[in-house]
Amino acid sequence: MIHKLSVLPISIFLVILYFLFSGLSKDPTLIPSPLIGKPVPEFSSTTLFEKKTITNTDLLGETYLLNVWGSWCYGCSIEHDFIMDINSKKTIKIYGLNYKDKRFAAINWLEKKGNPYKSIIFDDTGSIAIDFGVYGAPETFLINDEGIVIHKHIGPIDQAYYKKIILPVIEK
Amino acid sequence: MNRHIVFILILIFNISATYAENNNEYNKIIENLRCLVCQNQSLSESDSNLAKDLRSKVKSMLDSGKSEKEIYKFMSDRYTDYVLYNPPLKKSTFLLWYGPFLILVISIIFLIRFSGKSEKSSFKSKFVNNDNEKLKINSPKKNKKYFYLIAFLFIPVLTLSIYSYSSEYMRYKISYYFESKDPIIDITITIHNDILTNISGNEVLFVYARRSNGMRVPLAIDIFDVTKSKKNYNVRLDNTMSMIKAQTLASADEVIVEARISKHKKAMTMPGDFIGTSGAFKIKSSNYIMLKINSVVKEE
Repeated sequence: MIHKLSVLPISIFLVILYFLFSGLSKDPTLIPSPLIGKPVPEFSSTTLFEKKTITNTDLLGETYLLNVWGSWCYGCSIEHDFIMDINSKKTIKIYGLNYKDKRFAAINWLEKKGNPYKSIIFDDTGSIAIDFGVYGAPETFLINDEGIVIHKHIGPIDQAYYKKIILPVIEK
Repeated sequence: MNRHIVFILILIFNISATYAENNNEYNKIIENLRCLVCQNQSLSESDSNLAKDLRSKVKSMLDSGKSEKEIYKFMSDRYTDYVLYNPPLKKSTFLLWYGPFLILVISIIFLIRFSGKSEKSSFKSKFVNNDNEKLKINSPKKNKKYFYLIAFLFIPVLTLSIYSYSSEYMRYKISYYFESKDPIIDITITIHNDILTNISGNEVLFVYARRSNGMRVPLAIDIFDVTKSKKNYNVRLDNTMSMIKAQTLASADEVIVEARISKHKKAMTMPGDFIGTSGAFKIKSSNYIMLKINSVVKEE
């Protein structure tokens, strides 16, 4: 005979087991961004090409993508074709955050591969990226016209990202 | 004169004392912050670029007089509580902090209530069955009582042990065990003598596996610094070393392994790189190959 009290420990055990096992399949390297729903952190830097001052307020007024990249970053060269592709659709502006790079290397890289960015924020020390909570390039932020972060993608972006994340926002 | 010396000594002592104090605080803070790109390492242990940047950020914040709390807040505002080794007590982390104790208390309450009841009932049976049959009736009840006693003692112990298993380190270990069936490739790389003489020590060695057909994206890649004198390298590539999530060793059937010494430290193959390529082989759960770096990449 199974006593009704013995069901309790077993069920507790099973519930705990379930949570622990569901934890195993999660990717612990993906960290959600605390920035989502919050305004873009303030920054002031120079642009990569023209060396003009650029601040967070310069980007206000329209929805845009902020793509964190570096010429040293392999994932960035993988996603570059997609970013060129998105830019050719002319549906959304793309800004670049050149992360821990050297000016000449970054310019060289873009001259070879094409430049999809409207403007590029130069962040050689990586301090702006720290304010954005960047922990590895490439990362892509989707930011609305009021400068609020809507979405953050970690890793190279692809067609699915455009369809699932960007399109619904543009079509609104 | 003497007074001046004393004054200077006091000054030096003070500066070094505050420096040491600051340094202790610095060490403590970077011990308590997680490196985000390398699992199970704190900022103090990690050699990754991000960890270096965050360490220098902590240092500069300390130097500008920021408190430990302010630094933790700065980090968690940007990288969530995940960056903290001691997650703060909040609504969402309440169970994490007090869950095991809660379960312990609940089971103790159950234990006391239950054992009280069963004692009463066994008392009853003692009174009712005051004859030779007493033992026969009592013994299964007694057994049952011990069963529940053990069961209820067992729950908190089990919970606490599972709880400790759920720590990140153990989770890593467990997941490694489950994933250990994923393929690994062990590679012994030998650099040809003529190439070895051309090495200055500024190069890096890329070792990667890619599909024998189709995409050239590395399924697994590792990077080493090259030294003049080292002729052999032992490398293991596994499923965790991929660059894109879906493109891992496990996702391919036939791969080619390449070892390339790059002067430019570039991921792309450049003319002048020294390279060794394996033939295509079918990937098994455990693979061993030997690779010779014996050719030079020519101008395209």
